[in-house]
Amino acid sequence: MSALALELTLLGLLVLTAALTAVIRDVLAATVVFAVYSLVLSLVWILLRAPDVALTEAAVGAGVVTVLLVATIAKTSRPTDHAELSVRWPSLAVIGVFAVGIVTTLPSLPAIGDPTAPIHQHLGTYYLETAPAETGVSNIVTAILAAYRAFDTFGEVVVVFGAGIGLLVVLRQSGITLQPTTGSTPSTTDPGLEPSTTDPHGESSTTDLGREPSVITTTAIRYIVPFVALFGLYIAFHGAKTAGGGFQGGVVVAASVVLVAFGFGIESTRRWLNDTVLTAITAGGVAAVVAIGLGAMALGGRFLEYTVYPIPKATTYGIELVELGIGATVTGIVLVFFFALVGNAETPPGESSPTHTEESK
Amino acid sequence: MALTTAVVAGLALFGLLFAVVAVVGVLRFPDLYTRAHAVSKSDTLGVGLVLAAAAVASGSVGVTLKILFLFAFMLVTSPIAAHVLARSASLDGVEAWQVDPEEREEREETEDDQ
Repeated sequence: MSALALELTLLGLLVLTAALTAVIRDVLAATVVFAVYSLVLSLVWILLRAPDVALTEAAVGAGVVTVLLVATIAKTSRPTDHAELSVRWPSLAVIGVFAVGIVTTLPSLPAIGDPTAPIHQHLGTYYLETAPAETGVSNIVTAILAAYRAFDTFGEVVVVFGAGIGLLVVLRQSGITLQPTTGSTPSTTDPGLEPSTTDPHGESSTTDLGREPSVITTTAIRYIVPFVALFGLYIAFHGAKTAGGGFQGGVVVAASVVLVAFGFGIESTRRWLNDTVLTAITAGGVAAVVAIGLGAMALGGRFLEYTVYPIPKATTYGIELVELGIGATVTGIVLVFFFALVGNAETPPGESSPTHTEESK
Repeated sequence: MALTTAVVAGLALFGLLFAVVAVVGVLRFPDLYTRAHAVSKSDTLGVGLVLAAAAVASGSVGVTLKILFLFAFMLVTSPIAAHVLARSASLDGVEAWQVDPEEREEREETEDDQ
């Protein structure tokens, strides 16, 4: 009874926040509501006994995506006008038909956790019974992801990598370069508030918003970041035993760097990290997965067939290394996205507010 | 068993009360600074009490330890988030809410009359 009440509350919140995200005209408010939607959704995943997905949802949906969206709004514009909400009836009709189709199909699905459901009859049972013994990994989600379905996961990493390259190409097309621009003036602060202090290295110690880093913030970040980064690595490595894995852990590690960037200045963090290092991490992750896969082929096996490696527990180590590669690529890509969108790059004149044109429909 | 349930329910309800106080503060207070104040203070305590309820409900040392770490994390991050918010607002020139001087005089006069 109480479980049903909880489910209904969460689902109600989910529908409400989803609708609000679509209806709210202020993009910043919509972004915040979307983060709430993601958080509620991650709770729903936990109710559905899918903690791996819940972790991803919380880290990516509520965390990184929100940061990237807010950063993009800060970089471009925040359209709050166009308050009137226009409805396109043909679109609504298509959505209506689709919704009716889904709702009428739903009752024919098996109940959640029903052991007699078709998906639990064939392959699922096999995985549950043999995966821990065969792979030496007790989190079966990870075993399937990085061993049985390793080729799919390899594809996913390549997709993430490709998305990063795609974003860089798009940003470059629109004249936003990855190279830090020198001598650009902070645009969002009042002239009177610009601090004049410089750090010992002769560089301006201001963050990119033209502010001195606050002592309270930097001190706290100094203490928090090691724990956050360690937690990210824990999620990545311990994904073999508990919920988690390279995707989730990679995002958390990236989040710790984002924290440093917000506290100590985005451009100085990027200079400290160095674009070359970032590129190496990102490409290195994919390259590691490819190397493990090709190494198996060189030893006479198939692509990513861990068992051909002449070491004990080859599958377990293979899974861990692939997870590490995934984590590196995800960390790198999230940071590439972050620095490309938030970094001190200037929008070329004439293209200052691309969101306005989209919003005017 | 019943005692544990009562303790858990009591802690959770008490925590919820502080969360409600925070929400009321956000809705009723006039400017960013007072709102940040309402959220950071009452929400930290509210979350702390709900976490305590979760620790009691779990009845396990391992989970309680993790919850203690969570609470320590909350204790550090929540006030700093409020600090960052208020500081950026201040640097952006967001003015703190004040009672209008004329309005204050009027109010004091009416209070004197009564």
